[in-house]
Amino acid sequence: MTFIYLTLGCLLLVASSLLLRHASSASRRLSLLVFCVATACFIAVYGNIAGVFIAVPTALLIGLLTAFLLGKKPQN
Amino acid sequence: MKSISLKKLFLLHSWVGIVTAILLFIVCFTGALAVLSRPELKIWANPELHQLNSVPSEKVTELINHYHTLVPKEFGENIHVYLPTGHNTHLLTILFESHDGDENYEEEAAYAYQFDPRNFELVNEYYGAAGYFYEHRKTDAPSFIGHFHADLHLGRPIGLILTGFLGLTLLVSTITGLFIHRQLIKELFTFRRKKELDVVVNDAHKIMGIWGSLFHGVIGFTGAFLGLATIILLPAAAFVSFGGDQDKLVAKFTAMPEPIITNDYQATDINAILIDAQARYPKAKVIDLTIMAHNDANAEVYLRLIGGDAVASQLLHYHGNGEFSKSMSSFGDIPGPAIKVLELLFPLHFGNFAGIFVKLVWALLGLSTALLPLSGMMMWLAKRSRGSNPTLSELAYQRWNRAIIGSCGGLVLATAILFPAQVLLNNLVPVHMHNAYFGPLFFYSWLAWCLLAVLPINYHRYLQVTMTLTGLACMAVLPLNLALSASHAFSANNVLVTVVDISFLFIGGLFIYLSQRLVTKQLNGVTAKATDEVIV
Repeated sequence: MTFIYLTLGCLLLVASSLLLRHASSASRRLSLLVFCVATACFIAVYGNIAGVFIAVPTALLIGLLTAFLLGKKPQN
Repeated sequence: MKSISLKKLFLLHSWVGIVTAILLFIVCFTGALAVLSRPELKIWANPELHQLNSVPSEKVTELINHYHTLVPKEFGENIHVYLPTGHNTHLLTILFESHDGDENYEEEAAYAYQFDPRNFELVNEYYGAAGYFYEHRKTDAPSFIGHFHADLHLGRPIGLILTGFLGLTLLVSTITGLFIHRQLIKELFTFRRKKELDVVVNDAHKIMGIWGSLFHGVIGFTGAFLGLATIILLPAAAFVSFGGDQDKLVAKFTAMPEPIITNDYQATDINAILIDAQARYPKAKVIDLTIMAHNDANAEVYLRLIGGDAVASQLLHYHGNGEFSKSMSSFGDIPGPAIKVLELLFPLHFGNFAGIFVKLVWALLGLSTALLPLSGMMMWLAKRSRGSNPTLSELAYQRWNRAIIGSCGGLVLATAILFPAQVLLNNLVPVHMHNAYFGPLFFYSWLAWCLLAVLPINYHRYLQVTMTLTGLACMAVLPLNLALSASHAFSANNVLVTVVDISFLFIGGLFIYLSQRLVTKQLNGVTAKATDEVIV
């Protein structure tokens, strides 16, 4: 179960990062929402405080990897 | 913020980075590896630990009781038991210590017995100064890297002060960097990897700085604390509250005060204590025990636990009859929120508070921390060697680049070499001789690679060879293990060994792929430049 929650949490953080890559404010809000759901997955594994503590650096790492792999979204 | 203040911050950011860049890379790179050194890589490096789940508590009790009868009475006052969990020694170690020494030693003396955890055969016996035993314990590649990260093998206090100071400079660079690059959201995903190398490095520096800022700040702060606490903060606290008497301060706050020995016999029930600790904290691992006044009516037992639901390591206190007393932090039973904060600094720095997932996150973010000063230095050099009025000649630029590759790339190469060397040592060299190999192998290979930088070689080629050799060293681990060891990726029956062996192969392949990409990119760059010149 831990593995499933962690995988789901990471996938949601990837989605959140991809949404943040979009320039529109709607996608940024959605990104925040997805981040909150991802945090809930981490909380399910590690508990309230540790879950948030772990979700934040994981989001930072995934954001960094997204930036490295995909770069900035091209503007139309 | 006024532009003049920004300019000052930029200058501070640049010069702090330039002065400390190479040292910061060394500390951060080894730190990123050190996150995984205990217990994961240590278990991988020691075949004795491959098949081990836990040591039976009855056997530990039996060994302590038996060997206690073989040592003089005063050595039973303090017994330290290090369980083979990958956090301490690779063997089950029972150390009988006398604080006041004996007829042969005026300082702390010890009798130590080490057992193979697979069959409990006595492997090693020691009698002598306790400090000597601890200093000359068997090391391995992961432990060597871990110690190098802590004090750069410069010893204490110099090494600790240096790494602590580097933590402070990382903190300063992180804060000033955030002020300089204020357009955080705009630059969050700006990474133009198809542009020339200067632009790629510039973008990489910014995104690593922005995304990792929180992490870099935390690592800088906790690193500075860990480095400087015992050297500066402890004497300062002693000066303020105990008239400069550090021993008094330590005695006041020690987690394990010495009991008064009554000389009334009462068997210390270590078996029951170990069973009770596991029942109370089933997810945690007991890593060591300290037994004071063994088999005395006033005996006290302390167990150090790591993992489980607790964020930091915890200390369990039992009375000799097996009665549980209390659970406390490793600093002791000190009330107040400050101690809770202090307690958190260790797991925050080591990333060991929530299993392997967090350790991987810490290791990867740690690598970005290591690359940050390096990319910053490359930007600084590129800026001074370009434009209409460069302050750095092309020759000096190349020399600088070779110096960076020799020192930083050399470190990566020297570190990578340690792992295939570990496999060779495990299979070809007697265990008691291992310690003699790691230092020379690491420092001489690093030094040799640094000296190569003196030669007028093309720095692109130099980097490519460094990366290729690093890749080959990593890739050699799995085949060497397959050829020489009985416990390898496909036979160890241990997921950890399999994952580590295959990870080395993957990382090695990645290094070789990147080195090839680098050549292609360089060739493309040269072709593009030549085309531009033709057009002009």
